[in-house]
Amino acid sequence: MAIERELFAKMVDFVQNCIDGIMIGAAYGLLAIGFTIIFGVMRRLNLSFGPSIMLGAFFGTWAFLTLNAAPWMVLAITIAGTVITGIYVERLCFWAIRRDATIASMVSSFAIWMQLDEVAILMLPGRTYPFPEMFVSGGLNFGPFFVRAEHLVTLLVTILMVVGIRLLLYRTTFGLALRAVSESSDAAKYMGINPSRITFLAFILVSLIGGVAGYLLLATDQQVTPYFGLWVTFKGLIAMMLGGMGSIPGAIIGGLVLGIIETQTQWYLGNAFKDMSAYVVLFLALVLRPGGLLGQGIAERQDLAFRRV
Amino acid sequence: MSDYVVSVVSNMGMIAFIALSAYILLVIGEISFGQQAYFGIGAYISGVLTAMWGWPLWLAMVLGCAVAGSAALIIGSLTLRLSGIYFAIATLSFAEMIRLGLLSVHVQVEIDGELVGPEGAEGFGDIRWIFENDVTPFEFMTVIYVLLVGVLTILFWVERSRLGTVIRMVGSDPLLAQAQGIDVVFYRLLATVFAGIIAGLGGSLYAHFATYIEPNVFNVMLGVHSLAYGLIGGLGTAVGPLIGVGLDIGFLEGVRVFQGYRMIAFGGLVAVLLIFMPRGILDEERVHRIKRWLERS
Amino acid sequence: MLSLEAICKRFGDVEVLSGISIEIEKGDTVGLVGPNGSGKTALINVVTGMHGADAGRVVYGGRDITGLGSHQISRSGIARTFQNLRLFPRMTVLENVDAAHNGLPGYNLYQLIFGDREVDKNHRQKSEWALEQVGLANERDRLAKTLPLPQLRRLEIARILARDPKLVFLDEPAGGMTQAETEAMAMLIADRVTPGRTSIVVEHKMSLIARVCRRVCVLNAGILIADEKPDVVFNLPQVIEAYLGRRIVNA
Repeated sequence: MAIERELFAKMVDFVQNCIDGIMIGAAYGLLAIGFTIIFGVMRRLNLSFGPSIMLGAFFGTWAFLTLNAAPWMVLAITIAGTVITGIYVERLCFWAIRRDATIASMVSSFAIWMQLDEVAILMLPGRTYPFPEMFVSGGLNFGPFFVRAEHLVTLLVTILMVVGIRLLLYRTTFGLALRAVSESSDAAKYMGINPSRITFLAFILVSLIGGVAGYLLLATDQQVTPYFGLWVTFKGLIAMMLGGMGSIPGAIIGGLVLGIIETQTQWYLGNAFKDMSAYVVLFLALVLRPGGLLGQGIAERQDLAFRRV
Repeated sequence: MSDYVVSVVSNMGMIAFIALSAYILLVIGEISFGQQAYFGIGAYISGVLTAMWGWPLWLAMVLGCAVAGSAALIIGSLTLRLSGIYFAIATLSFAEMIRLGLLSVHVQVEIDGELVGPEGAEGFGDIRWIFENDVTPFEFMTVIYVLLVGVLTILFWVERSRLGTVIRMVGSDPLLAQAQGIDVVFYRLLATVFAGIIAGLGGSLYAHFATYIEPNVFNVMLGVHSLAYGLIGGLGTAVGPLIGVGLDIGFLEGVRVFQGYRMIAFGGLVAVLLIFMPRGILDEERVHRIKRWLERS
Repeated sequence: MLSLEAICKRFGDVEVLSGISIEIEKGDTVGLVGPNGSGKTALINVVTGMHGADAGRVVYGGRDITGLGSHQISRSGIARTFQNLRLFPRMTVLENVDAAHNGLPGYNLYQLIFGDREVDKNHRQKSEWALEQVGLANERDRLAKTLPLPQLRRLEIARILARDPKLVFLDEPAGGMTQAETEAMAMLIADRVTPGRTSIVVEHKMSLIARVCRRVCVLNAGILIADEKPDVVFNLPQVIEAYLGRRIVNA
């Protein structure tokens, strides 16, 4: 009996970890969707994606601290700040630079990252600031399992957003144009689509997604630092690469896998291995299966692989 | 020279090594987010050898470079099939694995009643070789620059040689290079290993200059910075990365009046520069024009 | 000289080459034609080692070269041009031609690094000679990416002449050219490339094929449907059918 109870307790731990992993992984998935859409449309890497969200969140927390803004205001300001910063990055690092100069765009987005960091520090000197909590708090018990209310909101919002993105991509003209540009920007141009307009709109879309994801993550942690930008960029990239580039379901699965790996290793091996495990899995995945878990077809995968970033 | 100037100039010299290392990979056509790993490997290996085992500096540096080069060979072989963003993220993962791994390395020995050695996140202090051997910072700076000039000489030599052309062929169009009889895999590995050795050399100098290192020095930011230096300076010549380093560290330290707004100014400057010069200041075309102008006059 | 034995190649579910067998004599000039997507470029890619074959053998000079890397095949004396032009855009015209020597078996790593005055000089002269042959001697110091298309195609020819291979594949050497430019290219090929070499020419412009080739192989949907003299081949019913009523310019 004692052994059975122990086994049961272990099972509960394992399942609880998976639940926590899925909750945090949902937000990773949103970030990965942001990366995958931008990479799909432009074949260029936007390192400033995370820092844009970080700056948006700093606007939000600034409003909270100085104007005592309500949670929904903070959410609105965070999203608006992320979108404005995203537009700035798009104009300066992508629109203004020749389409084939992919490395220049990436390095430029890195230079702007440095700028955004400094703006955040100027706005709120110091390192760590409180971020207002969500509208809800507490949690729910399901039998032996516990789910934080914030996590539940994160998961619900993620599901809603994924459905929304799916509808946008497959049911609207904008979605059709965006997919056309992702397939081939030249062919899209001959069909009368303006790729740079689509890129611009895609940036706004992605910033919206990123702003929401950033808010959900920060409101769960209830604090924000300038390092959040770095954290978001790399979590999003890892989740995207794990799932395979250019696929929305891949991005979500990559996010969930990353979340579960992190919570499980943190539980069983300790904090030191939490980040390590994600990188080990990613490295092995890239070396053994370059297309990701849910990559595109072989031809497209090779096409993406041989395209210089 | 004041101590401050010596330390800034030394820093530029040491960062130049890792910038050159990132530049070599850019020339071979790949983006690496992970050159800081070889820098860190060089620093830790040579630091352990001098501080814990009492090896002479030069031998420790040779071994540091050798280990960094071997690591580059292994990672290079594993990532041969990858390119573009896949290669970039694979190198990033490797570098983070090294950094996080170093965070949990605790190996210390007692020397003169004190514990010396890597102590995880606490860092690795007391790499006292320059104190024990009465080397002044100025002298050490000279050593850094002699080695840098040595590396540059090799790079210039290679760039003028047919090997340099081969490397540029592989970087520009690996398929075409292969179709012309170039063993792309071999040259890619050759460049990767050389880049690893150069980064390791910079790292082993850094450990002994700073006398204290910690894993978080070798984070992604160091790697992305060196990549940026390589591109800003220009992909046409090995002088390029030096210009990038000079611009960033030299310029930024020079204009301290901008304190607090430095990165806003500098980030904007770089972004605007890249709009007009997407392959850097001294790109292949400008280098070509300069060469022709030199030949004529 | 070159014999292809039942070459098969598939991409995913599509079989682009289904059992192609061709025997090519030393010194012959063979045209390879067929509608778009019939497998001409795929065949060149398989022979030059850029794609592996799924079945079949490539025997060159008595040696089985199937499955070798494209650099090894290139070193055994086979060269090619590309349908959609491959050059090093940021190198000068002369450097582009000279670069072609670097992959020759004559160079080892030591020579590449430290140079070999005799060999280098020899190659340099050959490069300049090749540029003269194709009429690009005056453009030698321009960056390759600044040249117009017909001259880029000539540069690819110069690259081949400089290396002096025994077997040459030309993939649409007159692609995107006007009538006059095509004729000039046909002349260049007939005068400089094909003499003393074995050549295989892929081209849609039949005037060029008729001008330089003594034999024409027709591919359709991955199958060899004809192998005849140029004046016979375009009157064969299966060839006319393959082109589906498309008018064939017969020179």
